[in-house]
Amino acid sequence: MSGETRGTSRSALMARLRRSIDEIEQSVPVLEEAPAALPREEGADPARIILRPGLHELTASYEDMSAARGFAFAVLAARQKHAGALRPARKALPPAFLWAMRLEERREFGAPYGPGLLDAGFSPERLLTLYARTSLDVLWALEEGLKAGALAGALGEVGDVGLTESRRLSLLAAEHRMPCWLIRPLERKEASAALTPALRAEAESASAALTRLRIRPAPSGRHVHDPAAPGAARWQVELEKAKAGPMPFRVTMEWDHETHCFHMVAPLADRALPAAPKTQSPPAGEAAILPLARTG
Amino acid sequence: MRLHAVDERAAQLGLTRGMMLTDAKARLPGLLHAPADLEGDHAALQGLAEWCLRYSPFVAADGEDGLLIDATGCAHLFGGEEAMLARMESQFAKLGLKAYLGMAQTVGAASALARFGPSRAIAPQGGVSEALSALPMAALRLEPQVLLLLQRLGLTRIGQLYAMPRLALARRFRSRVAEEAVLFRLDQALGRQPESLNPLHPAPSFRAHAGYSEPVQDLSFLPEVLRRLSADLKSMLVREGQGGTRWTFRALRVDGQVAALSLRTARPVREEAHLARLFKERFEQMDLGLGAEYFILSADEAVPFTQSQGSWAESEEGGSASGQEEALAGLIDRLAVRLGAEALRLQGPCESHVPERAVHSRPALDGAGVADPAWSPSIPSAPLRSPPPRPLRPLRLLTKPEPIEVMAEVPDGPPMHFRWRHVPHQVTRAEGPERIAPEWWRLQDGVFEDVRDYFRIEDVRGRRYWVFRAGLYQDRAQNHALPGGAPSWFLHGFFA
Repeated sequence: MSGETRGTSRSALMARLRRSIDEIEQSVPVLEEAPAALPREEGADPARIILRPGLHELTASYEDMSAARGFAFAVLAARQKHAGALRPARKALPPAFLWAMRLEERREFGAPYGPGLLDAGFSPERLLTLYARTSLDVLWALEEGLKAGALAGALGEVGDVGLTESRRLSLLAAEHRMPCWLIRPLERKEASAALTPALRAEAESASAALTRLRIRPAPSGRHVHDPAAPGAARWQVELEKAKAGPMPFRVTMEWDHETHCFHMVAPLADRALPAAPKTQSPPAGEAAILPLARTG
Repeated sequence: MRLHAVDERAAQLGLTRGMMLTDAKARLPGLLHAPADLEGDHAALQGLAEWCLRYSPFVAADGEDGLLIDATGCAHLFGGEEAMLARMESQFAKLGLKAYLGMAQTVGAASALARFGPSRAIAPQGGVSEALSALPMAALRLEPQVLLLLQRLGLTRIGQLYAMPRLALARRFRSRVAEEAVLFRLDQALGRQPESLNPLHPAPSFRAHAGYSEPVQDLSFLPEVLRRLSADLKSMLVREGQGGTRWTFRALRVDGQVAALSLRTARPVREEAHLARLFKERFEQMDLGLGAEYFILSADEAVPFTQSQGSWAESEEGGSASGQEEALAGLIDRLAVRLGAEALRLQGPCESHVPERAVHSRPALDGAGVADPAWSPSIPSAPLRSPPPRPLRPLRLLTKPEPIEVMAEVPDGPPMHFRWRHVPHQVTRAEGPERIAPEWWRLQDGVFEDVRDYFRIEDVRGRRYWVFRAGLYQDRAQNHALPGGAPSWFLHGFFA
């Protein structure tokens, strides 16, 4: 009798604890700058999700890292526009950003290039670029950047992040209501080979980030004037994980550098050309295929 | 081999500087000797000069065995001139050094008194010539030949020169150089010729110092020391309406060495909390040895401090614009202090069409403002504009273009395949060429750089690159003198 009541009270207690944990967990990502601007149906828009305050992870396989970096610059440009729109009074100075990376990354993939950033719609005069020696320095700099309250966002390129580090960044980002992005290659260096695929997947998902997006390059959009030239940048973005968010999905996104907006690319109606036409005047057969491909 | 220096005991036994080592050993078979380390002596003297910053901000090394301290306005801090010299002597004695001290209105007289005068000699105001009159000629800092000449003339004491008419003095010397040297040194010593010391460090704008009776050995006590000093310094800075941009924190150790930390700030600073945060990162680099008993914090460079008044209406969370700017400057300071001023950079545009010269990267600490207003958007944010006047530029630019192996369809056309870092890529789309000619006013090793034809290309997977071909096929074909047959290709940047 008494054992039974103890059992029910214990299960009730457990249920209560679970509920309160759920409440705590859900309360963190709900922090928004302008909640009214995010209707529920737009929650599945990665262009919105990625600008939310909190920690976001952008991952890519090693050979696709430059696509992930490009996507991150587009995100910064969108954030810059967003932050500028939120504070019209401070239009004179664009919001400042911190981009922290290791010297290794600069050596291998170059430094952010001002004129190119300007072309992509990001004004680079207040982009603080940090070239640190180790991942640890990068993470420390990101923490300082989040704490300072002077930035519109902080972005770091790191080789590897542990659960503790990502939790620290995640909490700071939530506390200071600032987006923080981490770009990291998908392959984990240490002990990755020794794990079974299931365990490896679990190790990779061990992160406290609000979202994790997997970035893959995608053939660019149609160039207005020259069908043989690369057009607007596109990426295949897969939302792999979202805390209290929409289900995982995969979309192709396009960056419009003139309006500083992301567009969703409809999978069939708006798809890219399969390959460049070989010559400026394609044979009649090839020209006939194109409209079919578009209507498909 | 000769003796370079002898200690007091050896001097009493009759050894002198410059004596042959064999002679000295013959006289004293038990003589201990070691090879002279001139560079080590010099470094130690410099260190000791730093250590003497506790007495005055103006300290300089004098020759290879002396220190000059400008004590103007400093003596009263030690309870008068006599007390100051007595303090110095006892503090040097604690370091194991015998100090010979002299004080006078001129550098020359002080140097003479210290080296040849009585112990702790002080030349009274207006009594310099009297104080020097009994000293030997060597006290005038003259060359040995000149001293020898004076000796031959029967002039051994400085006082003998006073009575002599200058013209008569001049006539006795055969060489004009020697005559001028004697008169010049005499005038310097007596204050008829100006002489200033060349201080180790330029005068700090503001300086606070504190001594502790017990040596501080524990690094964890340093924040407390700094707090005390920065509070003192802040009140000075506030009084003058200034803020410091260059800071040095010195710990004067009990062994006569000095541990120092220097840092810069992006904006003028005077808040204790900000300084404490900046220095805290670096305290672990300080080597206090057996302990430090005296600390100096100086604002080596100060500029007018613009007081920013926070608006009363500003929200708790956002802060005012100026508050945000201050926070940004604070962030720059913290990152630069810990990771190095060179590591944190901002970029500005440069007037050049060569891609790598079109930006100018500078440390974020440089320049008072954080904003570089010169960037003007090539594409204004107005939608639906005509395409940009020049072809697009990549988001990331490699510091050094990397060679790639390229197969092109036609000699001057875009690549079809290329191989970068051993990975083959198939090109699906390309735009170009954009021809970028070298700047004719720049020659590299006497020859012009090659003309570059840039292409914006995309591979099968949708990765977008910026590649260029250096040189033209036709040039190469015509000019056989050029090395290497075909022009070479390089990868220079990455698009989104």
